[in-house]
Amino acid sequence: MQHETADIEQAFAIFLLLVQDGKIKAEEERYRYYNSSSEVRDLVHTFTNKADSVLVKTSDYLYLIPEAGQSLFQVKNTFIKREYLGYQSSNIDLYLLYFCILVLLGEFYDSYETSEATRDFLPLAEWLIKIKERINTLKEHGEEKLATTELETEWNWSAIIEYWEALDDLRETAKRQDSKQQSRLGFLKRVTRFLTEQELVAKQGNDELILTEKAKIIVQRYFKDSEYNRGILAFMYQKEGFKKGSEPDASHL
Amino acid sequence: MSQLLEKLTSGYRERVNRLAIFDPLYELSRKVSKDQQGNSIDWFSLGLLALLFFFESMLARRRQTSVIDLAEYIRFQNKAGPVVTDQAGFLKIAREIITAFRDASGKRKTKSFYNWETRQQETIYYSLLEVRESDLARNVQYYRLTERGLELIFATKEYFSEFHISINQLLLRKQLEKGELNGALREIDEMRVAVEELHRKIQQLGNEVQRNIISHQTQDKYMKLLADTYSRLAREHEEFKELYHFVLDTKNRLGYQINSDKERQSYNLIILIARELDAVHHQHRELLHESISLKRKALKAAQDSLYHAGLISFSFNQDITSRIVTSPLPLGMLAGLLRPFLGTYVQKSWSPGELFAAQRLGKEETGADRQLAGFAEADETIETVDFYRQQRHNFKVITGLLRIGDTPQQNRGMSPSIQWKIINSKPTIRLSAVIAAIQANDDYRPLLAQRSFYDYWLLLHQRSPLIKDAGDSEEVTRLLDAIINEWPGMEELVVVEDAALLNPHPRYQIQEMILTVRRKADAT
Repeated sequence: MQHETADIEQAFAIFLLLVQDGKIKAEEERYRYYNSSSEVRDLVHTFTNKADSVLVKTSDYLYLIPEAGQSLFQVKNTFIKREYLGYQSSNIDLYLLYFCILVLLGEFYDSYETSEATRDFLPLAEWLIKIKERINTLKEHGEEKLATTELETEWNWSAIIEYWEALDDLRETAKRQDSKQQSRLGFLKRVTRFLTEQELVAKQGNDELILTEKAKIIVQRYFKDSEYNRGILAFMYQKEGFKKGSEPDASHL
Repeated sequence: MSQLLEKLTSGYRERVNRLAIFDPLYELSRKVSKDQQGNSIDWFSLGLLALLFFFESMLARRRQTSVIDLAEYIRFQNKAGPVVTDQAGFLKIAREIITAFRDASGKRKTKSFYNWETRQQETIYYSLLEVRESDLARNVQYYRLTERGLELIFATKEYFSEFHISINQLLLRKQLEKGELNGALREIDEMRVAVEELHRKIQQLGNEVQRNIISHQTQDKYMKLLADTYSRLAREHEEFKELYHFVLDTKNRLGYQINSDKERQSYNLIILIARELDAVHHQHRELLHESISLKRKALKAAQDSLYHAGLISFSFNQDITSRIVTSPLPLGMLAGLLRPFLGTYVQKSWSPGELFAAQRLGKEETGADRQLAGFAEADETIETVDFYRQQRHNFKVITGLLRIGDTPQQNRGMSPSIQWKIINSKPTIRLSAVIAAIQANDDYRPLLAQRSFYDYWLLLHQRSPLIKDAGDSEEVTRLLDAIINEWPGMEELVVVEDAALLNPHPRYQIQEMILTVRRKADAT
């Protein structure tokens, strides 16, 4: 299919902006281009597909949402570790961070009946308790089963559980609880910092967290979209095909 | 206390009165009992259902509604669950509900509370159900809702809040007609709160429209909601316009006849009312615009949704988080599942082009160069020469003082007090002793008010031990020369500080020091 050079240039500029910022405001010129020309729209869609991502448009923003699954274009582990978890952090810290975030999102969207969040906010202490509950469920599987679920040999759930158990809830001796401390609360504060900088969560004081519009859009427009959701489930259920270093595209339908 | 705060508690009893009628429902909800299948019964919703049933039978002008009818209705509603029990069971439920609304003992329901307006304990009596008539032969009572029961039903009606602003507008008009201007201001305040509330609602609706995949049904629902909101706003808008004109008319009317203080007060009030009303009206007008743009948004959202298969029933907690821990899924999957939230990776690298980017010109403010904000320092360059000359002179004088009576022959014609002699007979002098000696001598006392005196000691302390012919030519050492030269036969000066703090002059404070002079004779 032939495209006008101008369209391609325009589409690529939009795509670049999306990759950089993750979203484009409705007031911006590029949003209007995207909206007005179907040629440009198609091209941007093609580009985003190649980057393992999808586009979600609302009347305020155009969002670029990476698809669930493995991709070459995902945020690098080392980046997260270095920026948010401290220089001495390992992959265990990173996986624990992911785990905490999943628990948090689950806490906000915990109902089949409504598509809206079931919570207005999540207090830090409550989050801690929920994570503990999940860790306890994991422990019930027993060492052996946990070890065998892992395809990566280096890291597994047992290590995460062990790491979590070794941490105190908080540092009793410390005057104030902050993100630098080696405690569960300290860790959660680090995760919170990560989430706020990713614009997924906002603090509303008193150690209470609320979800941002961006996070809500991702859950409600991506996870709840039946088409995308099929892809997510397929990714979750293809344990056999999930191997380290396998084709990143394998995660898709 | 402001006028508004004073009025805050007015009508306190009325408000509690309105809240109290909800109590029976909550009493019901505290009941714990199970049906035949062991499921717990939701008494609260059964209670409301019963209220609605009684209301309905009033609307239908059915005069005879007994406990059996209620039981029959509840049974009918529970044909397919959730409450499973037999006829007797339903009858028991119906009876308990009626008891909750109307105490079997015949006493009315009570609500005791502390009335902040009258500042005493008060009690409200009420019942939600009453017996309309009874069939004594069959021993059956027929019930109907009391006035309070009807109030409770109306309080659950949706339109209540929808007409809030209209009701306020109506009240405002009545109050203005009657000349109750104070109350009118309050009415406007309430309207403002209602408008703000409406604003929040519209915003929330806007967010919901955007973040949900709109199915055909939800689209219809939203569109209907929006249409309703719009027509409501338009209606209120009209009323606002009329009200505003009315207020202006009233204002003009009052303006013509200001004779007394009271009239002047009313006139000021009406001006205030006009202003406040205009502000609320303005907010309201903005809502009207917002609702129009919201309508457009909803239409667009619906359009966009055409391409999507639509909303599915999905619980993040159950479908994702629980799934991870119950299976459990491999750790590596966590990152994959979170990918939608994390954004795309942007390689951050440094380009030599950065060198040509806009840079900050001028000196970097680094450590030593940085001036601390705060005290401006005296410009030393101008005063240096004079200052050192002066200081040198001062130091000479002080040194001269200290070595008075170095030996009795070198007395230089001064008449030292006995203290001086005591001090100078020893090679060690305490600063406190020097100060005491100076204070005792009227001629020297002004010295203590001079900064030089303290500088002298600080300098000696800093440079201690001071050895003759250390030899360098800086300004400071020239100061030292002034001291050293004035002290012939001195080989070494040692100044050691002591713990005590001295307060020789209200303006100055200095630490106690011990000056030891070692002469050539000592050294050898």
